Amino acid sequence: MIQSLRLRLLVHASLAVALILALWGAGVYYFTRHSLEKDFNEALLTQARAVAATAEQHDDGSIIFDFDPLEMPQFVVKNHPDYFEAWISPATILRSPSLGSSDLPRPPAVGPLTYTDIVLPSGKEGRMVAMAFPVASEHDEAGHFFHQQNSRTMLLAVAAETHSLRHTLEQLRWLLEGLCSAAVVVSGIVLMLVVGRAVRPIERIARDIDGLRESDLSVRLAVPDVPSELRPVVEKLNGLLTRLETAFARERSFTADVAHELRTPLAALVTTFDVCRTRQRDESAYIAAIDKSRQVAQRMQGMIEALLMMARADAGQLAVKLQSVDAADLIDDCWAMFVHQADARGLVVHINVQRPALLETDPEKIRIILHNLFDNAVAYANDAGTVRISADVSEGRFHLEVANTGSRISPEEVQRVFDRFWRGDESRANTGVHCGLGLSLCQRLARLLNGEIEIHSEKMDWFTVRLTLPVGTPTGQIAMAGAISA
Amino acid sequence: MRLLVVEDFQPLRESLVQGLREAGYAVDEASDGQTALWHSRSGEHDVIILDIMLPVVDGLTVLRTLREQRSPSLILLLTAKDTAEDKINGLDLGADDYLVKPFVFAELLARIKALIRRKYEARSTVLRISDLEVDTTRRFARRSGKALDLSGREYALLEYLAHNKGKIVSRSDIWQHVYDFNASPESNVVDVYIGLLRKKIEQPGLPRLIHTRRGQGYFLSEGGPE
Repeated sequence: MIQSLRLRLLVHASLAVALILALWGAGVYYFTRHSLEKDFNEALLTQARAVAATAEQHDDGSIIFDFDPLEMPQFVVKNHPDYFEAWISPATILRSPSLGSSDLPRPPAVGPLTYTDIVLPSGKEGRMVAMAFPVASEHDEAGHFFHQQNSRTMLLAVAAETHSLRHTLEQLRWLLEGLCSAAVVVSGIVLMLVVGRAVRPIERIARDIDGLRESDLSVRLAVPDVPSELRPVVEKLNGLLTRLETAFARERSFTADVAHELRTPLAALVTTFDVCRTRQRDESAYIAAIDKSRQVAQRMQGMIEALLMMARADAGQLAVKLQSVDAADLIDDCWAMFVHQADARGLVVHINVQRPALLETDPEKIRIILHNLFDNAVAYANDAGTVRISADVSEGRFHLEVANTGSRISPEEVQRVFDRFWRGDESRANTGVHCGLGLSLCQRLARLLNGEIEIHSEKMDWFTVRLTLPVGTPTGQIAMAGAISA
Repeated sequence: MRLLVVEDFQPLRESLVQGLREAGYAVDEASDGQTALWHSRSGEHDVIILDIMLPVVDGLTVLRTLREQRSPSLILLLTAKDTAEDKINGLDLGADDYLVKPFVFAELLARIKALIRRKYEARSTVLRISDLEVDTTRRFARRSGKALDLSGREYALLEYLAHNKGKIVSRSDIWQHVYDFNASPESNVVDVYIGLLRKKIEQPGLPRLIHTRRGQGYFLSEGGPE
């Protein structure tokens, strides 16, 4: 696999050019060879006919060749002579002077005309044409009728050197091969230049991309002078950069938020210790300081766990373990942990849960969601206010509603409750328990389970969270949901 | 000296208030910007310890508002925001000091003392009136080289009078600078403490230092008021 686009283009284009030229060259070669051989064969046949024409049958049946070396000197000359041999009857053989006492290979006496490539007596390569034909009698010339009755068949072979034909073809082959090779090389060079020019914008974009730094993602690749084929790529890259920039900015502000949110409880711990150590105190003061520190540490732990779980949900690493559960039981279990706190705050609690509420879902995730929603409702409801919990299954979906009175969040602010670290009016609520991550975690978990969370709020009125979950969740979609929530 | 602690995170606020009260300051507290503005409207706090990320009204808005109102209070920003930009921004808006969370409580105390010295234009940490020395760092006082055994309240009252050396301070000034907002303002509490302080400071053979100006208040001086 060739990695370089330029090299790949070059190799493929050169191969194509070479193939075309090779086919063309081969075509030219075979066409030329065919016509040259045809000419050669025809010349040979003409010679054979000329030789045959000199043969004459006498009345006594003997055949005489009226062969004149001066008229056909090619059968006599020393250099590259032509040859003929005639077999009249098995015994009678007539040879051209050039043959001397050697023989041409005797062709089988079948067929009117055969061409054979042979080795000539001189040791050179040659071609032989052999033909059988009746010899004309003397009377033929005089116009007698009976010549056919006792005319005799003669087998004649004429051969010539093919050296010059072979040589010409060889030269043609060399010429074609040379031309084709040169053409391939030249086209390769031309292609290299053309391809080089064609990929230059890619190299420029590559340089631009190389110049991008994660520290400055506000840079965009220039679109106008990019070839139209590359424009979608550049535009997609710019889109990706925009998304990356937003994500990086979000991550940066998130990191700053995390630092801030961890520093404040840390400052509380350090200050509590410092103040505690300024003097000798009685035991109850130390116990109070320890209890307070423990509560702060617990908040930090909760925050870190929520952050970790959100990070895992965002990265699609949060495994979903599906089980058949009765959501009504889960609600009972989770609410049990808040009964005491709700009583202590003098809250009126209405619970209206349809039983059973059977779901195919991950009970651990549901537990976390319920815990957060109940915790918020009990903590943020006004003193002696009302908390309402209702759940049912309808139209194949599970609906849960957790509401509390005394909302301090206006309808305009509702979407912000999903922002990490956002807290509503903190003057009463920031006792160190809530870190502003609960609802954004719930939202991620709900999405992981293919569900959705909606919030409605009126200031000084109801704050309502609605959770909707599918009753049965196909596993395949869960993995997708995990990836999408990122 | 009276301080205002503005911090929304309850455990931190509680510890700060406790530590500062134990260090002898009168401390008021607020958990959001709006309450902070309400508390500080009188300008009676010597130092305001102010968080930036606050509900309702954020700390920088509180800071800007106080500076627009020409509040005499000095403001120390105590925040988790630690970048140079945050510090520059806070100081440019009129903060007098900046401390990043988490911090060492002793450093906060030292910075508060430095701010108070600045407010009362005292270069030295030891204030001198005749042969009376008030050491604001170690928070104790001596007369003629002999240490005085003062309670926290008595010391705070003396330090306040010493910072305002030669100036008449009214009972309500004393009330506002030395006592917590939560303490009940009984009319004669200030007089009682002045009496207790006098007993410890004034000694036979030495000049009177705490003077009463009837109908106006008290002043600490070798001679008469300036």
